[in-house]
Amino acid sequence: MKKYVLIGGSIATEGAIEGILSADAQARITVICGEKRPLYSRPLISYVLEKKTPDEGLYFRGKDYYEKKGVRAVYAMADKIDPEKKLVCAEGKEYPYDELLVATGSKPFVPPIKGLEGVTEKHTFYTMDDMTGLRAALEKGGKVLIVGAGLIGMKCAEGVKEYTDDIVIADMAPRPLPAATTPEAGAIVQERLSEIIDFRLNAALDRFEGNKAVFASGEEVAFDVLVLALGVRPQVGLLKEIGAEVSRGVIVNERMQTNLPHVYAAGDLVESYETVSGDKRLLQLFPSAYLGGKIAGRNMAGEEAAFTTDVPMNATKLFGIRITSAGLFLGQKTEAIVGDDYRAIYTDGDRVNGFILIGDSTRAGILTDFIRKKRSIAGVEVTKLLTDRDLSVYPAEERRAALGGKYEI
Amino acid sequence: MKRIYVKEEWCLGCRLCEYECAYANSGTHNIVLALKDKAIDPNVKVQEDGKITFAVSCRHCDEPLCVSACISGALTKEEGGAVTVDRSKCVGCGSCVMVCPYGAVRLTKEGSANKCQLCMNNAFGEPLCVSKCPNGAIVFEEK
Repeated sequence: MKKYVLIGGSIATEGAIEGILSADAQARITVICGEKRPLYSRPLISYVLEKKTPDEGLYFRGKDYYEKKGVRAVYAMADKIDPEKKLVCAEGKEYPYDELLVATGSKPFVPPIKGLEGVTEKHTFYTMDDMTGLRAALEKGGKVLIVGAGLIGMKCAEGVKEYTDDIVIADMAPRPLPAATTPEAGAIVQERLSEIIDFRLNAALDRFEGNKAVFASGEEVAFDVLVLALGVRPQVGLLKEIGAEVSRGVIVNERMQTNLPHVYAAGDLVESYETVSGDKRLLQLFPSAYLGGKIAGRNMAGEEAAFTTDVPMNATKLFGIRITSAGLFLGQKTEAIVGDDYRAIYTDGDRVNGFILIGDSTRAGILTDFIRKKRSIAGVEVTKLLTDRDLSVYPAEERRAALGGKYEI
Repeated sequence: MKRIYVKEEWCLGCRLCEYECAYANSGTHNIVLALKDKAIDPNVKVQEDGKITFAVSCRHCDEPLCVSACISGALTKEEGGAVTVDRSKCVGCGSCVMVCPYGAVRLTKEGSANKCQLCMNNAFGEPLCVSKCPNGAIVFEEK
C-alpha cells in the first residue's frame, strides 16, 4: 500500500485526493494542513462576511470530507521535507511518504510600509481566520480603508458593506480590478460603483501615521479598520530549500512533477502552461488548483496524466455587476454594447485570445472553449460569438457526436 | 451511466421538450398552473444551425469542468455519474457558466445556477423531455 502525503488543505489537495483515489483504492493518504481545519473554500469568505453564506457553508464538501474519503488529517505546520529519507517533518513529528504533493498555495503579500506597526486594526483577507478577525473588528463599527482594488479587495468591500457604508478603496492603478479587466471594462465597473464606493485611484501609499494613511500625493485618509489586499505570493519555501526549481512559482512538468523525484506540486504555488501565450505563468486560479491537483494525484498513483492547457479566467458578481472573462486581452478587439451590457472579444487571425463580459454571461463557456481548444473561428461570425452564441458555432460533426454521445466536446 | 442523447436529424424543432422540462421542474402536477402565462426557463434549450435543430441539455461529463470550477460546493458529480446542483449553496459567481463548453449551465433570474438533473430530483423520476418528445429525437440510454 502506497503512502501519500499532501501538504496543504485546500483545493489542489482536494483534487489530488480525488485523483489518487480514482487510481489507487488502497491509497493511504495523509494531509498535513498548517491552517488546522478541514478542507474549505477560501473564495467563500467574502460571502460569509456578507452573511450570504453561513460559516458552516465554508466547508463546501462537508466538514467530514477527509473522513468520508478515508484520509488521515494532521493539523500541523509542515516545517521541512527530507527528500532523501522521503519524510515530511511537521511540528516535531515525521511523516514518511512514497509520493509527496506540496500544495501550500499562496499567502497575502504585505510589503513593508512605514508606520504599519502602529495601525491598531490591520487585516488581510485570505483565510477563514482572516475573515473572522475582520468581522470581529467590523462589528465594533467605524470607517474602513481597503488598500488594493483587485478582486480580493473588491469582494472584501462587498462584504464590508454589510457593516458600514464608510469605505474607501485605494489603489495605485488608475481603475479597479486592474488585472482582471480591460481599461474599458474597468472604467464601467468604476463608474457604476462610484456612488457606493469612495475610490482613491492612482494613489500610492506612502506611510501610516497611527490610524491614518498618507498617500504620496499628500492626501490623508483616516480609518478605524485597515484591510491590505495587495495580492498574494506563492508559498515556495519548503520546496526551494530542498533544491526544487522555482521561478516566480514552482516549475512543474505536465504531470505536475517538480524536478525532485516523487515530489509533486499543484495549486497557487506552481506556474501553469498558459494556453494563449504558450508561456509558463502563475495563474493562481481555483479550477487550475483542482485540475492540477487531480492530474498530480493520478500520476502519483501510477497513471499517466498530463495538464497541458490552462486558461486565465474569472467569474464574479460584484455589487450586482456580473464580470466574466477568460484568456488574454490581446489582439484585435471587437466590442458590443447590448442594453446595459458591455462585451469584448479579442482575436488574432482565426483564434480567440480572450473575452470580457460585463453583465449577461449566458453560454460564456463556449467562448472559453474556443480559447482552451484553440478553435478556429473561420466561418463563425464574431458578433454571433459575442451576442448569441450556442452550439451552432461548433463544427457540425463535433456537435452531432457530442449530443449523440460519441465523445465529449 | 444513462445519459440523455439527441438525434438531431429527428428533431422537429417543436420545443415541446422545453415546456415539458419547465413542467417537470415546476413543483406541481398541474400543467396549467405550471405553464399558463409563465415565461419558462427550462434546463433544455432547442438551438438551430440553419435548418437543423437540436435540444441541448447537460451532458453530465465524466470530468465536469463546472464542478471543478464551483467555489461553493453547489455542483457535485454524484456516485452514479449525474452532475447535480444544490441551489441553496450556490453564491451565483457564474464560474460554472464561464467553463461549460455546452452552455448547459445557466444562471436563473434569482441569480443561482441551474441545469438538467435528469429529472432525478423531481416528481417524475425520469427525463420528461425524453418521454414526451413526439419524434423520439431525445433518448435516455446507456452507451
